[in-house]
Amino acid sequence: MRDAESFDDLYRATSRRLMHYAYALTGDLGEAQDLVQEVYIRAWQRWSRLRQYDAVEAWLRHVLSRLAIDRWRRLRNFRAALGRTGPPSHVPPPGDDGMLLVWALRRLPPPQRRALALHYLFDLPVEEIASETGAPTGTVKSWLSRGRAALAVTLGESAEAEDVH
Amino acid sequence: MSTELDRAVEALRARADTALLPPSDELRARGDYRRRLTVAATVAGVAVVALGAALGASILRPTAINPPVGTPTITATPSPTVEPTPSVEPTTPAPDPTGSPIHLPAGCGDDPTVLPGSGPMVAGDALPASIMLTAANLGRCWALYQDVGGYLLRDPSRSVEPPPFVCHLAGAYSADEQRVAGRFRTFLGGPEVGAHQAVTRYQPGRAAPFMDEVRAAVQACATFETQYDPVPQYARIVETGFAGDESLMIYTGGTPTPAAETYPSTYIAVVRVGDLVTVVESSSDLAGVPSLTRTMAQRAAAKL
Repeated sequence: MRDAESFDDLYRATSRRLMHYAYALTGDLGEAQDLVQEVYIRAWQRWSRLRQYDAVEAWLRHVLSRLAIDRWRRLRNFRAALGRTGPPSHVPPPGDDGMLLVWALRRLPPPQRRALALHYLFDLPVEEIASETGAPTGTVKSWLSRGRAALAVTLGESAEAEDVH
Repeated sequence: MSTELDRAVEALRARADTALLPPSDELRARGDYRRRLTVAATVAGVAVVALGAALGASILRPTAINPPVGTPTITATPSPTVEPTPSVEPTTPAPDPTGSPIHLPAGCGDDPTVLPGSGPMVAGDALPASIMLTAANLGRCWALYQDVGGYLLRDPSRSVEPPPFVCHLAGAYSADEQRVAGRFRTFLGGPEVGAHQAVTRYQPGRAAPFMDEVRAAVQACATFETQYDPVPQYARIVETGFAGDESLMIYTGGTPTPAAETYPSTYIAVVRVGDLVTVVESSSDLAGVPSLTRTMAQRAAAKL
């Protein structure tokens, strides 16, 4: 028997954070909305089992990142079909810092993008990111370091590295 | 975190907050509606579903079940013996055109629903049910959906290939011609969660060459593309020697080595015990689960 009340509680508590994460991964608000809704629909379909998990929010993020990767592939195929393949625009968008960050994130490889989003949006330490992504901690540190350096250039910062803990 | 990046992250959050999400009851209603329409993928992994084809897309519609191919002689080898039953047996009851729920044990979440269908096309003699995995072998929240006596036949019309299907570059196994008996089971663990097991007996001495063919198939599929997802996919043998006389764990996915980023991905275990070979695979809407596949393979080998 599924418990709607506990599901609604989870939704209220986590949906905004998951929307932040989806936006950081996809760089598109509409796409992020679709992904977040899809994740919660799947969560509800499995709620009887999922509600017993210790880390439901991690499960949500996990599903969302996989769905996002799937979408990137489909989009890449779509662009290939249209003969419009190529790197993202080199011209930064006008607007606020958020749009600039999204633009910069979209230029990063997906693993770096995901690691940065987990680190800065959820304050996850390297070890937890490694656990969630299945990558060694050294790899996560590398993703964060490279991703941060790339963002620093875009955001007009010096590329001095920060210590990763 | 630097001030610049800090400010940019806050701006990203603020921008994301402008997007409206539906109330949770609406999402629940959509989930319930979808569940009613859901068709569980019953033979995920038997066919091209291994990569890219969405779970739920592979439905075995009712078709005539092939008669046995020839009358293979079952030689006297160690257990198991071949059941004196018809070599081809339909496995599902009369179809309900609206779909039928497969009931999972209490507390296991939503029951998967399957559309009416028949078993796959099979031939050869039926190996005994006693050598097959049971739902309990997979875990508490699994149900046996399909139990077919005989070995699977290729069925291009439904993209069914005798297991293990690695990729289209591999072609058919010549050792398939040396099969004499088999059995095939499909399990469901919830909506869009499934697993299957095939056990095949080969003519004496022909199972080991079949394993060589499987290795060659993985090599042929080292890099490939599918019609569903024309981007590079990879096949690798990621583990050996975990069960039986010889065993292979085959990974296929979107990265050269298994990684959390890989989606979709699948794991297939192939284990030989004498002249018997079992192929097991688990699948879900997210990715393959290597630990479950390994456990299934080890338990399956212990029963041979």
